[in-house]
Order: sequence, then C-alpha cells, then structure tokens
Amino acid sequence: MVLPSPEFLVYSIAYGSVLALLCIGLTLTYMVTKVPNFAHATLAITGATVTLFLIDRIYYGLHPVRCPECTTQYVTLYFLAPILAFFVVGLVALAEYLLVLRPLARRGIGIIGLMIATLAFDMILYNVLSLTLYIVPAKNLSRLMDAPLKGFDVDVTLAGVNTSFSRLLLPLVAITLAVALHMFLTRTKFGVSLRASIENPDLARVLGINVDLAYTVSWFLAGGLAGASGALWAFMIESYKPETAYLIIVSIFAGSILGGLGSIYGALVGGFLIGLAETVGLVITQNLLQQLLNLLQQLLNMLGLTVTLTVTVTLTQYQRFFSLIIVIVMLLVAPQGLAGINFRGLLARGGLK
Amino acid sequence: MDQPILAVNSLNSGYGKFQVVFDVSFNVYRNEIFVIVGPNGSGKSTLLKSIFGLTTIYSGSISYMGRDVTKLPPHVKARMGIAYLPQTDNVFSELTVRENLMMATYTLKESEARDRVEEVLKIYPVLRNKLDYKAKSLSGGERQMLALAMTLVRRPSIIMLDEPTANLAPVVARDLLKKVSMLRDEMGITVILVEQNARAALEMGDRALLMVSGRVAYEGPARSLLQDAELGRRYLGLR
Repeated sequence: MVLPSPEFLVYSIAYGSVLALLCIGLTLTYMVTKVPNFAHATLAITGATVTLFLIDRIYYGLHPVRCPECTTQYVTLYFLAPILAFFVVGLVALAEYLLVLRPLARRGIGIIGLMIATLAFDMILYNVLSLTLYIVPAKNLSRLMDAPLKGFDVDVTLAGVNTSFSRLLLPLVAITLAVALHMFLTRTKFGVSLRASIENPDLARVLGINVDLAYTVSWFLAGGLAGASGALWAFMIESYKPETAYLIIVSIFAGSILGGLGSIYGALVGGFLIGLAETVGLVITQNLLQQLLNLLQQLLNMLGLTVTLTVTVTLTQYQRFFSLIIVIVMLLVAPQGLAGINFRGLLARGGLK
Repeated sequence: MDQPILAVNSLNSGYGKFQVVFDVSFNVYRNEIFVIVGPNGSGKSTLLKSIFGLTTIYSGSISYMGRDVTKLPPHVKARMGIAYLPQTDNVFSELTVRENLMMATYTLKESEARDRVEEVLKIYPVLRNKLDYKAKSLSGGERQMLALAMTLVRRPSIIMLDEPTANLAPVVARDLLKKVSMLRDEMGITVILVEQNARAALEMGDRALLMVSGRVAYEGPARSLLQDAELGRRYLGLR
C-alpha cells in the first residue's frame, strides 16, 4: 500500500493547518517590515508553552491522574489555550516589533541588520522559554516533556478513523482564523487601511492613516496567530522542547516562499501544501522505497539468491528535505510563488477554459 | 495682503543626508493657484514632499493657517486639511476603487464619508461603474481621476498636486487641468501645482515659483514669469 492510512492523513491535515497559520503570520510581518522574522517559530513554541503551563497550573490540579471520564474538562483546554496564547504571544511579537525592530529601522539599520536582530530576539526568547520550564515542578515537568501533551488529548473515532480531538480541531481553527482574517482585511475599514499601509505607506500617510498603528496591529495579529496555532500544535509534538522551533522554522519559510511572501492567501495554501508534502510525501516515499526493494528481492529470489531487503532507516528526520526541494524548484520555476502565477492564463493556454 | 494659508521660511530639506532643497521661502494665499515650475531635478517634487512631511527637514519652518506644522507627521497634516497628490503611485493598485475611496475618507465618520463619496462620484461619474474594479485595472486617465477624487473627497483647504498630467494623453491632460481650475473657482480650494507643462500651468496660475537646482530663482505673478523671455527660454523651454 503506497498511500498513508486515514489516521495519518488526519494527522497530515492537522500539521498542514498549523503550518498554514504560521506561514500567514510570517508573511504578514514580512509584508509590513520587509524583514523575515526568524523568531516566528519560537513564537509558536511560546504558544505551546502556554498550553503546557495551563496543564501544569490548572489541569493537573483538577486531574492529577489522567481520567478518561473527565473529557468535558479537557475540552475546555482546547479553547482556553489558543485564546490565551493568542494574546500572550501577540504581546511578545508586539515587543519584538516595538522594542527591537522599529527603533532599529528608525535608525536606518538595513534589512540584514534587522534580520540579525530577529535572530537575536529568537535566541533571547528561546532562553527565556528554557528558563521558564524550571518553574514547573519536577514531577510534572518530566511528565509534560517526556510523556507528550497528547496524553491530555481526547481520543475520538470518526467514521472508523481513530484520531484525537486536537487533530480534528486544528483544521477547523485554521479555517476559522483564515476566514476571520480575510473578513477583517476586506470588510473592515481598519483592515483595508492595513492593506493600504502595506502596499503604499507614503500614500496611506498622505490620506491620514496612522501607518505605525497599522503595522503594530499586524505584528500583534501575526504573533497571535503563531500563538494560537502553537497552543494546539502542542498536542501533536512528540515531546515538548523549545528547540523544536529550529526545525519548524524551515517549514514555515518553505510554505511562505511557496506562497509568494507577498500574499496572505498564498501563504495559507503554501503552508498547507508544505505540511502535506512533509508528512504524506514522506510516507509515500517510504512505502514506494519498500515496494521497490520488494521487487528487487523477488528478482533476486528468481535468480536463486535468497536475500531480505527492508527499509530500516526512518525517513522522519528527512521530513524537511521535501519542503526544501519544493522551495528550490519553486524559486527556479516561479520565484514569485503561487500567488504570482497566472493560473487563469495557464488554463486558457492549455485550452481548459 | 491677507495672512498666508501656507508659509514656508528658509526651508532646507532632502533625503537622509542628501540635501535637495536649499533655503526656500514663499507664501501661498487663500483661493489662489500657486504654480511651481522648473527644470527636471530642480527639487519641485521634493519641496511638496517636504511641506507634507515625507522628507528630512534640516532647518526652516512651515506654517499652515498661522500654526507651525514643520514637525507634524503627514497623517496629522492630512487631518488638518492639507492634501497632497503624489506624481506616481497615487492610488492603491491592489485595492478596488471603492476601497480607495474608503481610504480617502478614513478620517471621516461613516455617514459623512458616504455623502462625500457620492459628491465626488457626481464629478467623476466614470468611476461609479468601476467601484468594484481594482485600481490597477483602470486606464491612466481613470487612475488620475481616482487620485483626484480621493483628494477632493476630504474637502481640503489646500491641495498640492505633483505633476497630475504626467504620462497622460494631451486631451486628457487638458481636461484634467480644467478640473484643477474648477477646484479654485467652484470649490474655493487653494492649489499648489507642480507641472512640467509650464505654459499651461502659468496661464492658469495666479502666482508662480521658479526653482533651479533646489533654490528659488523667481517668485511672483505667474503671467510675469510667462512673459519673461530670458527665464522662460533658459529654464522652462518656452519661446
């Protein structure tokens, strides 16, 4: 069987949803400040830390031992964590913009300098998160870090597919937040002013729009999205470590570049596709590789050689290989990303429209 | 003479460390068309940007209706009734015509904004049929109309136009300059006009400023500059 199981497909969609939200945030801040924010993944991990602390401070108190019948109480965590993380991480992102990037930009620091500043902020935040973990009582810490947070996830069986509540919730949260962001950007006066400020800040100022305020709100929103998605992503992480940020940042950049780095909708699609490529692509490759070895084995058996060939390498550690290949191909073929491709023109040329 | 609506005194400005405008002073009075002409690169556009707060001001002052506005940010000046129409990128290409007009009325209350948009759509009826089109899909003339509509919708006291006829067909440009005269005659708006077509601008203007290499070479009646053969030939290509 080449295709992954339905359970794995649900996991892939949930992971793609997390990446989509993270790519939207990264793209939004890039459009505003024209600087790639290397701290964006650590912002998501900060969101995951919010979930961790909620469990440590509130839910362990309620249920010291995991009890399956306490489902209702657990469910509140799914809503409380992302909402709280949205505001907490939104404020952290705001601090990055107001205390680091804006003052440096006003002093005429160029893009390279600002990029390094985001790296510095990332390291500071990473260390703060690592130190914060010492606040967690030791007995809970090992339980939280080694036994994954998904120990707190509610098991769900839907249409014969065994999965968890968080995995079903993530795509819904991603869709809801993306639609809410779309409505905000197109239906509200402030949202339209934000798009105007991004496209032409000088003209926006000429019309009386407070561009600084629009940029500040963008950073808060981007941080908020990272926080909310990170809070739910916590349920999917094998074990909680702040350094997970250094792996996922590659995927976030890949999704954002695939989306075009200049379009929020492109980022949504790009992030989701990268998420699928990293998970479904991985399984399909692994399965194809095994089938290829099976064929080779049969061939050798027919020749009278008795050998057993099995894929013993787990490809999980090569997960980002797929996203990086996609980025390279995309930059070579369509450097403007998905958002810059004239799909209508392509369809018309291909006689499909 | 009355108190000037806008007074610029010994202004020195530029971009970062690159100075473009040198010791420029002039007054603009209510309900006049004040024309700024000069050869390419003489600092006309930078002067307008400086007045609006979009460049670095090294020294000098700008006052509007007797109030010092030198250091005020552009969005505050816009709210005070000063409007500026840039030469290029004067509409938001990725926004629809409706959204562009919405941005132009950003500082107004919703009901007031709606009424004002209705007013400008009567002046530029062609825009009414294109409200849901993105600005980038408009023709050059339509884009300039939208830009002018976005400026007028805020009923400014003073409007600064930076080469509004640039890259327009002669017929469209003539029509647009007529509309500029209407601003003064029918709406009582003071106009500062930077224009490459010096003859057309000086013919419609009340007073004029000639800029050469970032400095003032002439300030006075527009007709006198038009009749000054020497200045006209040397700096404006007039014969």
